[in-house]
Order: sequence, then C-alpha cells, then structure tokens
Amino acid sequence: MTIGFGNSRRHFLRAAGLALPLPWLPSLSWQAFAAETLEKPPLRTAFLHFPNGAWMPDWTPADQGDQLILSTSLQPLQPLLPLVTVFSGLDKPHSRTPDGHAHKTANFLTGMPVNSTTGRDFSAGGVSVDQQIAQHLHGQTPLHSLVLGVEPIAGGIDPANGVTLLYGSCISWQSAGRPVLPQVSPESVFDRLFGRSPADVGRTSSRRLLNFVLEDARSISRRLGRDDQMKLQEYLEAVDSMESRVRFLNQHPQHPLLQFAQSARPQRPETPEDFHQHLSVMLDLLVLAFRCDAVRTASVMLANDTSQQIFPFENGWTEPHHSVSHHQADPQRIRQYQHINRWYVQQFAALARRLDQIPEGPGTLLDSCLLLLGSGMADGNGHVPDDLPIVLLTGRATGLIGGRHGLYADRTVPLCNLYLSILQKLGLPATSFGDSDGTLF
Amino acid sequence: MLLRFRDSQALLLLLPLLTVAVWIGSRVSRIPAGLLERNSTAWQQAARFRSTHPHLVRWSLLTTEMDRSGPVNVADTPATITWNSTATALQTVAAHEPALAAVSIDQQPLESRPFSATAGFTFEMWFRWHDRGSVVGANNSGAGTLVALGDGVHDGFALSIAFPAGIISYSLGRPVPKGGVSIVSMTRTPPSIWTHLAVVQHSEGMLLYVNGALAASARSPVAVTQPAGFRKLRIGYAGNGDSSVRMDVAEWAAYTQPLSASQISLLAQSEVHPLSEVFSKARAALCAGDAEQCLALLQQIPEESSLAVAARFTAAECFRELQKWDDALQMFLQVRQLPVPDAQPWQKLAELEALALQAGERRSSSLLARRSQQVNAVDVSAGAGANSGFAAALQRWQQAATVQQRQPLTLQYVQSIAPVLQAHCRDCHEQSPWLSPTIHTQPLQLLARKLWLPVRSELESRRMPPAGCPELLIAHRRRILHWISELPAPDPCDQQLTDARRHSISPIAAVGRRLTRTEFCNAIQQLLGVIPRADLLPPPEAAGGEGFDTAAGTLIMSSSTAELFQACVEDCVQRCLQPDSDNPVSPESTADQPAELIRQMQMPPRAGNPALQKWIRLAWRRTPTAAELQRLETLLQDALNDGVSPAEMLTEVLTAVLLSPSFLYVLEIPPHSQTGFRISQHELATRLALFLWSALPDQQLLDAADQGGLSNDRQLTLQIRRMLQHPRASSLGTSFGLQWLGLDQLPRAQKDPTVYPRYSPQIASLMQQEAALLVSSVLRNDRPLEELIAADYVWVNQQLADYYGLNPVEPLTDWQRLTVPDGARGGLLALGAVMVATSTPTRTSPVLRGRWVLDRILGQRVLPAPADVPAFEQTAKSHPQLTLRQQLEQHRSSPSCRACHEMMDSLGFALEELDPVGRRRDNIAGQPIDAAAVLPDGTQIVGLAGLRQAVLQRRNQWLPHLVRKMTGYAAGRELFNSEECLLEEIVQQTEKDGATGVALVTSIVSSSIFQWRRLSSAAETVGVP
Repeated sequence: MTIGFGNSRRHFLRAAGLALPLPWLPSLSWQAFAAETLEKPPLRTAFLHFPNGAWMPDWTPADQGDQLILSTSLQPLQPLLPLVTVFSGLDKPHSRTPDGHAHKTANFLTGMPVNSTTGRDFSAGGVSVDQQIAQHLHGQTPLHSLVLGVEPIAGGIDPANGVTLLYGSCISWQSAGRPVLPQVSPESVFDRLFGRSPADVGRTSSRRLLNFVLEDARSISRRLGRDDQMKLQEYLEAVDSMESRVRFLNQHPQHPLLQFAQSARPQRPETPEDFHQHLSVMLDLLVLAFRCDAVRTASVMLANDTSQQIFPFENGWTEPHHSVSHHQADPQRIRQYQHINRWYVQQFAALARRLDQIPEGPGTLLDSCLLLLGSGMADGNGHVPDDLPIVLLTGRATGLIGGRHGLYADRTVPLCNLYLSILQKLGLPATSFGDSDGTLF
Repeated sequence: MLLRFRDSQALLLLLPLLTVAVWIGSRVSRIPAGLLERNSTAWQQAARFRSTHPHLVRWSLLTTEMDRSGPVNVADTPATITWNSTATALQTVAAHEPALAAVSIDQQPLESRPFSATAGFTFEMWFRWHDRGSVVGANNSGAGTLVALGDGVHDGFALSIAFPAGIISYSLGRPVPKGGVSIVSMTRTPPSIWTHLAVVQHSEGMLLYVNGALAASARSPVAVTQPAGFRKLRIGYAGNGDSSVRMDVAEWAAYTQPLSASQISLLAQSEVHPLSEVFSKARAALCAGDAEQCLALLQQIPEESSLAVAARFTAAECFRELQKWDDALQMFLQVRQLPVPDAQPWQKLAELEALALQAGERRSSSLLARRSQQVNAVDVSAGAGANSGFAAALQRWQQAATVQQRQPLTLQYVQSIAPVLQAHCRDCHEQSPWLSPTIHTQPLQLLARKLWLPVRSELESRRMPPAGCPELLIAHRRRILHWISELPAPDPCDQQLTDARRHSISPIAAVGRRLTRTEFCNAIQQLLGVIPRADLLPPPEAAGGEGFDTAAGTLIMSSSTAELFQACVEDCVQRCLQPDSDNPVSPESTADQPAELIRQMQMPPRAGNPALQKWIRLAWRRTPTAAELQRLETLLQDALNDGVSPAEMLTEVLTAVLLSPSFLYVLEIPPHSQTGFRISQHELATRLALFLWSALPDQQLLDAADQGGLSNDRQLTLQIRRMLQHPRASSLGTSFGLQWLGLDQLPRAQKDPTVYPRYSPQIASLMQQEAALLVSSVLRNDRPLEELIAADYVWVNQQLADYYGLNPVEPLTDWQRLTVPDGARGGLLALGAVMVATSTPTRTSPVLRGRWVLDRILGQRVLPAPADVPAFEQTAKSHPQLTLRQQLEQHRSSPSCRACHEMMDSLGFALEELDPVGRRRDNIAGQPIDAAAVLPDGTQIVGLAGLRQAVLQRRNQWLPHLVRKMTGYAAGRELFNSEECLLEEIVQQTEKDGATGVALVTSIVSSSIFQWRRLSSAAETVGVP
C-alpha cells in the first residue's frame, strides 16, 4: 500500500518502529528440542532484496580492506559494524542482456539467465540459493523455507518487452522453472506458522486428508500427458510438503513451534494499511519463525521490482520509487534516491537488532545468523548489472569476521561466488553454484 | 558384482540361485578363468578390448558357473548391480555366448549406480527382446524402456523400443524449459534374436548402432545433463511413462568416451573387415538422409566379401528411403535367401522387413511426411543449427520444389521490390533480416509471410518511412503491399486439413492448470452456496499468456497457496453445513441447489450415497470412478475408526473432494498413445463453463455432455446461447473484459485530491463495472461487435450518472443503459475507467492514451522509448508557457521519436475532451481544448467522434485483435505465430456469422485451438526445435 496523499510526514515517522506484539519468553529455543548431535545453534540465513538499485557513489565505502567506513546510505548499520561486510564490484553476467528489470531481479538469487516469456516457460536458470539451502536442510525444520514479500504479486505483461511481470515479484526459485511465490499477507504467514487455532497445527484429520489428496493426485497423474503431469507435480509437491510438516510435528511434540502455537501463542496480526508497517510486520514474523525454529532459511522481497512506493522524505515529493531511480542525473532526484536507499538499510538494521534481542545459548539469535541485503542492479538509471550493492551481516558465532569491505575492482567476480561461499559455510557439499567460478571466503 | 537383497528371507530363498554370479572385469587377469577359452574368438576380442580400455567404467556379465563373488573395482567403486525384488526371483537363460548367462527381466529393472557422462559416453549392451512387457506405460503404451539414466527428457538419456515394429530410439535429455532430443533407428530389431545395441554420444552428435551398423545419427551439440545424484541407471522398466519390455540382458558396458564405428563393430562381434570403413561410410550416408550416396558407396563392396550380406541389406534400406518399394522388397528377399553362413542376424532382419513391406508398411514415407508437417509448421527459416542430416535433406528437397513454384515472386522481389527497400530503408534498418542483400538466394526465407507482416503494417499505417526521411512514392508503396499480399499463406491452413491434423499446428503448450481465484470462488458458491472469506483466498494471480489470469503458465501452485486452499475449503464447508446469521450465504442458495444436496444428506455419510455422488459429479465435472469412490470410502472408514463424529466425517469427505485435483485443476486425459487428441465432452463442458462463466458447468450442461450433445454444432450453439443468457455470463465482462482493457487494478490509481475532490476509489470501482457491463452486454445480447467502439449509450447507475453529469429522465434504480446524446460518451474509447488509467495524478497523458488505444484496441505493440530520452517534466519546466499539447510537440523533434509519437499522440489528443478522472471538459486551465489531430496516413480526426470513426475504419486491426485476446483467454495460453492461420479462420467465421457477440464466442468454441490439444511425446525428434 502506498503512503497516499493526506498522510503527513509526522504520521509516517510515528508509525516507524511499530512491531508485532511478541511474548518475550526465555529461551524456548532450538536447544530444548535439539538432537544430541548439535553442539551449537544451527546457522540461519535470510536474503533480503530491495528494488530499483542504489546510488552507488553514496553506497560504496570509501576505503578498502580492514578499515570499514560506512557511507551515508549505510549509516544505520554503524552499531553493528563488527558484523558488517560490504561487497563491491560483484557481477551478475547473465543479467546484461536483455534490458529490463525482470532479467535483473528474478535471478538475484540464482545468477543464471532469465527466460523471456509471457508465462509458457518460466525460467530463472536454476535453483535460488535459499531454496538450495532449504533442500539441504530438508527434514530438520517443520517448514521448508519462508518466502515473504510486502507488495502484492505483480501481474500482467510488461508492455516494454513482452515479458511477464511475475518475474519482478519472485526471487526464490525451487527449480529453474518453478518460482516460490512470496506470501504478502501477514495473516496467512501467521496461520501457516501457528495454524488458525491452537488445535489446528498437526491435527490427525489433516494427515488423513492430505494422504487422500496425495493418493488421488498420483492416480490421476499417471493418466495424464507429460505437460499436465508437470503442472500437477506442483500440487503434489505442495501437498506433500504440507503432509510432511504435519508428520514432522507429530514426531516431535516438543518442538518449539508447537509450544508457541499451543501455549505461548502470539497475537494474530492484521494487514496494515501502511507500507512501512506492513514491512515491519513481515520482518517480525521472520524473527518469530527463526525463533521457534520453524525455518532456518528465508528470503524477503522488501518491495516488488519497479516498485511505485512513494516516500515523503523531501517535502511534497510525489514521484514513485521507480521514477526516482531513473534520476537522469537530476541532483534532487538523486537526494531522494539516497534517502530511499538508506531507509531500506534502516529496515535491515532494525531486523538485525530485533534478532539481537533474543537470547539463545550463550549469546543471541543474531549470533548464528547470516543476513544478506542487496539489489539486482546497481544504478537504477542505467539498470547497471555489475557492481551490485550487497551487504552481508554475519553473526558472532558464524566464524566469519565482519567489519570489512570486500572490493572486487575489476567487476568480473560473479555474485554466485558469494552464494557458493555461504553454501559451503553451511556445510553443503557444493562445488559450484549458478555461474560461480570460485569462492570469496 | 554383488547382488544385494533387502530381505534376509529372500536371501535364503535365492541361495539356490547363487549358482550365478555377476561382476565387473577390469583387466585381462580379472576375466574369470576359462571364460575366454569357452567363448567364441569374436567374444574374446571384444572382452580384451573392454578390459584394456582406459575409459571403461562399467562392464557386467553373468556366467553359468559360480566363480568369484564380490565387486571388482574398475574406474568407479563399487559398481554393483542390484535386483531389488523380494517377490520376483532372478531368472537366467542362456546368452549369446556358450559360457555366459543372461538375466530375464520384465517389470523389475536391473539397477546400478549412475556413471558420470558429461564429456560424452558410449553405452553398449547385448540383449534380446521378446515382446511388450507386463507394465503398460501411462504416457506411451506403444514403447518400452530398454535403458534409462534419468528420464531422457530433461536429464540423462533413455533407450526405448517401439512395439510391435521393434524400432529403437535414443533420446538425450535437456533441462527445463527445453525437452529432449531423440533419434530413431532406421533398422528394425527382430524379436527373440540376440542383438547388440550401442549408443555413442559425443560433443557434436548422437549415434545409434544396431549389431555394429549405424542405424541412426544426428548432429546435435547438446551436452549431457547429469541427472540428480540419487537417480539410478536402470536396465528395463524405468517408470518414465513408457511400458516395460520382456527381454533378456546378457552383457553391458559403459565408457566415458565416445567410441568409433570400427570399435563398435568389434564389440558387436561382427568382423572388422578391410572394407568395413566403406561400409561405415555408406551407413553414415544413409542415416544422414543421402540414400543415393549410400548406394554409390555400396557399389565398392564386392559380392564375394563377407560384408556382402550386410551391404545388400543396407542397399535394400536405401531403396526404401528412396521410396522404391518394389526394389527394396526384392533386395530384402534376396538377402534372406543368400546361402552365407553366419549371416543369421541380417537374414532374420531381412525377413522381417520383407514381411513388413508385403503387409503394406511404408515406413520411410510416413516418417518423411510427419517431419515435413512439423518442419513447415514451425518455421523453416529459423535456421536451427541442430538440424539432423535427415531434416536438412528434407529442407533441400522442399526448397527445390518450392523455388520452382515461386519463381515469379522471387524475380519480382529482385527486380522491383528490393531496390526500393534498399534505397529508402537501409539507413536505419540495415540489420533487419528482410533487408539482407542475400535473402533472395533463400526463397523459403524470402517468401515467409511472417517476415513481411510487420513491414506491411508499418507501410499501411504510413508510420514508415517517418517524416523527415525521403517520401515513398505511392506507386512503390502499392507495389510492395501488393507483393506482400501475394505471398503464399502459411501452408498448413492452405491445405484441406482435417481436424486431426489441425492440432499439429498448435505448439505444445501446457494447458492443464488450476482454477483461478475467481473461478474457485464461483465454484465454491455454486457447490456450497457460501462466499469464501477474502482473507483465506489465495492472492490474485499474475496474468500471463495473452495477458490473462487464466494462462496456465503463470498459475503457480506453491505450498503456501495449497495451504490457503485447504484453509479456505475447510472454512467454506463448515459454514455451508452450519449456516447461521453470522455467515454470509450466497443469494443463489435455493432448494434445488447443490448445497442443499449435502445439507439434506443422510448420516453417517457413505461414499455410495447417491446425493453425495451427484454432488461429486458437479464438483469434478464427471462421474467418479469406482476406484475413486473406494478411496473416499476408505477415508470415511478411517475417520470412523478414529472416533470422528458423523458431522465431522461429512466435513472431511467434502473437503477431500474439493482438494482433489479433479476439482481444483482443469486436466485433460489423453487417450492412449496419441500425440494430439480432441478433448472429451466433459472436458469441453468444463472449458466452456470456465470461458463463459468463470465457473463450473451446471447440471444441464453436464447432462448434454453425458449424451454427447456438445459434438453437435447446433446443440453446442444452443448451449452457448443459454449460457450467455445466464447471470453468470457477466464474468465475460468482469474477468475477460477488465483484463483485456487493463482495468482490473483501477481502484489503485491515485489522483490528486486537491484538484479532483470528487474522485475516489469507490468511483473507480463503479467505472470498472461500467466497463465490464459494456463488454459483457455486447457479447451476451448478441450485439454487433462494432458497438464496442461505436456505442451511443453508457451503462450507469445513479451515482455514476451524477458523477458524469448525465441527467437521466427518471432516477435510476440500478445499472441501466442510458443513451447519451451527441456521442459525448459511449464505447470503449470513452470509458471513464480508461481515462483514469491513462492519466497521471494531476493531468492527462495523451501519450499513454494513444498507446492504450494502439496496444489494447488495435493490437499494435509499441516499443519502449530509447533509454536516453529526457523526462517530459524537463521540457515542461523549460517551456512553461506552452500548453501540454505544444510541449509534447516540442518533445517529438527528432525523426526517430516522431515515428511512434505521431500516431500515439494524435490518438491521445483526440481524447483531450475527457479529463484525468473521466469526466468531460470544455477547457484545460482556462485554455480551449485543441482536440484535432492528423494521423500519419493523412486522416484528420477531431475529438472523440473522429477517433471513433478512425478506429472503426480499421476493422482489420481491432477485430483480429479482439479475437486473439478472447481466444487467448479461453485457451489459457499465449498464441503463436504458427497459429496465425487458425486465428484468421476464426475471424472469417465470425464475420460470416454476422460479427456479433454470439458469433464470436461460437467461432472460438468451435475452433481447434479450443477443442484440440497437442501432446509432447517423450522426446522431440531432432531437427525440429
């Protein structure tokens, strides 16, 4: 929802900081549930994407190497400086052609070529990094992964290049041709985590029902042609994941998710009118999901591609975000552009702070988190596909040292190298990811 | 190799069968002692070759004695072959060599760990097939899997054999979104005879050898896609949709390197003769499609040589390819009677082929014809690099034939068209394919209509050459347009195609999809009589295909969507069974409604209950099968055993019915082993109801389907008319109409409230309804389609009428048609909704409006502006004293901009009489409105009335575009260039029937795009992209 006319700036600022009312309970954490083999908290990852690129002169830190000096746009991360690594010069070669946002956003987490289509054969070229992690962690958490968004999923065909606008709403891809659509409604995310009522999560009738549907679907699938079979496969997999969640919770009655759902139930949120509030609520739900170990990997679309959000930073500013990002070197627009970049970084920092407030083990939940914030393009005016704005926040217990600026000046290092490094850190036996040609750490 | 067994009991059972042992030999010393001596010399040679080859990764064979056991390492360790069945015992029979044994398999495959094959590989096998196996494939009952690693469509490779012809095909998978590529053997494989099969895959192509002779080849630079790690190499039934084969497997080996033809013939234990090279070349020529070259090479093989039998057989095949059936038959019979020892395999084959010919089989010609259809339809001029020799030869033949016919057109092009085009167009369009200086040497490309259609539309609309460039003389323009109109129409529609062939024009497109949100909502209302809660519905879909949410490609089902469906269905079922004042119940709910069926049902619910079955029939649009009812009964029994109350059991069974894909998905079941089929009556009823109502078919339509009435044209038209009269047909306006016109998100548009205080999102909703009513009323009331543009009335309710400043004679009670005098409003072009959608928050945008008309109504795609164009606001700031119109004209100072903007802006200026919030106005900020414009072709238009006329005159643009959009909506996918002719047919049929709403709907429903589907086979034949 845009901040429409009539809302004053003051109202907007007052609304900042609104959070989902959470019961702050002592560590009902993974530890109570953890199998004996786990010695320390599992690593969690979250990938956040903001649209329309960034004004790079104000984003890129001034110095390189061990001394990280944050630019103005990245100032909100100052309190977390020892955990922050800013990357400069990372490239996404497959986004160079053709032009258009779709080919830069859809493959933000895959790094492979995006197929130009109106829907017949979607492809982002490969599995996205969060889904790759989720597949590796399959069976360790009740939910596979969390894919969140704030703006409604875009529809229609982009008249500029005849490509479906759906690409601008999805960064998570289960397989090359199948996107995982973000959930934008806080109610539905909440219901998915905790059920519509305390008795709802993991009830037996669910299992009977889901098993019936699976059998039914399988018997129909055997009689279909190949194309329809593939479509039905989506449903089979969806129902299968629902069934395995119920089974998982039945097998682990001590799981913190069940305890939250039944005894320490948070309040069900409603979709806020305000964009900022909506974004905050989604990030709160992410924190909650990590907290009760419902998932260990997530991706968040902070706003859709070519987002038309209006931010009233400069007085009376009515131009939407996308138009601002096409600044045409106008200094006023560039100032507004910087404000918007900084605002998104603020939301990211707020997420990190919230994670840091939850005790876990000897430290906090943030200690075992790897959070990434970035955009699929650098300067929004030219849709520049290299020198991507990427910030990585690494928790204290991850074993990665922050407070650094990773500069790759020749701009030929693929972004996928970073993803591969993350995958290897998490223990996946991967030797390549997307178009990677090495690792960064 | 070790045989692994799951069950220790089975182990005991199979102990007697441990008289056989399976292992891999890696070095000569590892070949079990005595095996070499006891088998033939030829086998010894082959065995030595295998054991010393550096790239061997698998080799397995069975002996008839219990010798060693345990795995032997080769390249990968350990390579075990497993027989994972406790039910079926391992059966062995004698193999092709005295000291070897073979495994007899049918539905149970042999499994082995996969090998890594990315750089190219060879796989070879000695086998003997008997007949079709006991498992019938779901996708393809006419073929059985011999070997599969992965599925051969999206990864790995697969070898399969067609029944009863015994023709082997080898397919290589390519990852999504592409499908596999395959080659088909030219040589048959006789049943119950030991045959050696080999496939060689290298970076440039695929080769298939049968008994050491090349049987199929293709040039295709497709890399091998490794399947996912857990996939096994399967010999025998692989569960990929093909059937199983009853066969015996004696020996097989795999190498991670492509082998040469002579090496293959060594492995096939055919003699490597001094003339083998010539023979290989001959076979290669035959497989590449050059039968004459093959015959020429075969002449070099003397009669007395031991290759003579094989040579004659090959010659017979050449004759068959050249369609000289009698010669081929004679030659096959000769081969059969040759008194040459050790010629058994060839003679058996020859006998089979002779029998086939005598029975009337004309194999090569049918292959040719099928490929020619496909080659024509897809686009010969695409120049796909992956053409097999066969398809390329075909292309050459076709070119030669068509050049003869089309000589005059090519000459004409060279003499009078090309010089003009070069002179006028080369400066900007040098790179365009139609300006290529050598195009006249490729007549098929030159005369492809598709290439010239954009040129024609640019010339006809006078957009090209743009003002500022040398003018094109009228005579020249006419000549070019005439020449383009003479170009042959796409062949498939020229011929007298039967319906059965027609579907082959349509590309393979997945049409199976889930119900859209709207359709789901309506279906729930029909079946349960309740309106689903908005917060439990899945989010609105993204539009795809031709721009509609019915497009299968963008209807994605993720696990979160599935959960929402489950929650929504459960909630609706509960509310249906316990209606009370809190639950909003649909006004449609009356005594004979489906919801009443289940409310009045007897408890406890049983699957055999007739009321329940009747309800399921409505939900699933067909009668449930006995197996499905059985499953439901099992569900009910389980629930009963778990102590669930009858009321909850009913809830559960209804939820199960509504979560089954039979309800939630629109699926069409193909009859066995066909590549295209006409959808069944019930499937047609479903599609029809979704098209016209966005809801499920009702009892009457299903009854008509039961009786086969929908295949009768007259009855179909009657049903269509009845359905259009039904209130549900308003979805044609709200679902199709709003999406077509791009107005479905209208209430989100923002306007400056200080300038336009009366506008609100609620007014926007009313405008949406107005637009929907206009479209649906024209279609439902069988009005002429021009009324969409030329209507002199509007649909309004009282509030909207006040907003527009219309004064109806009597106050309006509800939505009504109101005639507007002087054509001040009315028709699509004057819709308030369109005006709102094509304006900024503070002012109108003639560019956006013009573009809307071009894009949505006239169907002309407008390319985006170049990246370096300065924003409009800059011009406005630098020239504040000019009007909007004058500012825009400043903006269009360069010829390249003018080309598009001349058309767009003119159309938009004509609409300046309507303000950004949809009302009429006389002035803009005090200055009078200048709504006159000149279109690029010289037409002068003034205001809305002039624009209406101009659009109406371009009937050949807006009518086909409307047809295209509506067909795309109905079919749930985008339409392809190859289907242009089918769309033209629909347009012509509509015109013939009077160009009214019903005519349009009926023509679309009767077309093959709506009623036929094309299926992808397991893999596409190489050469056709």
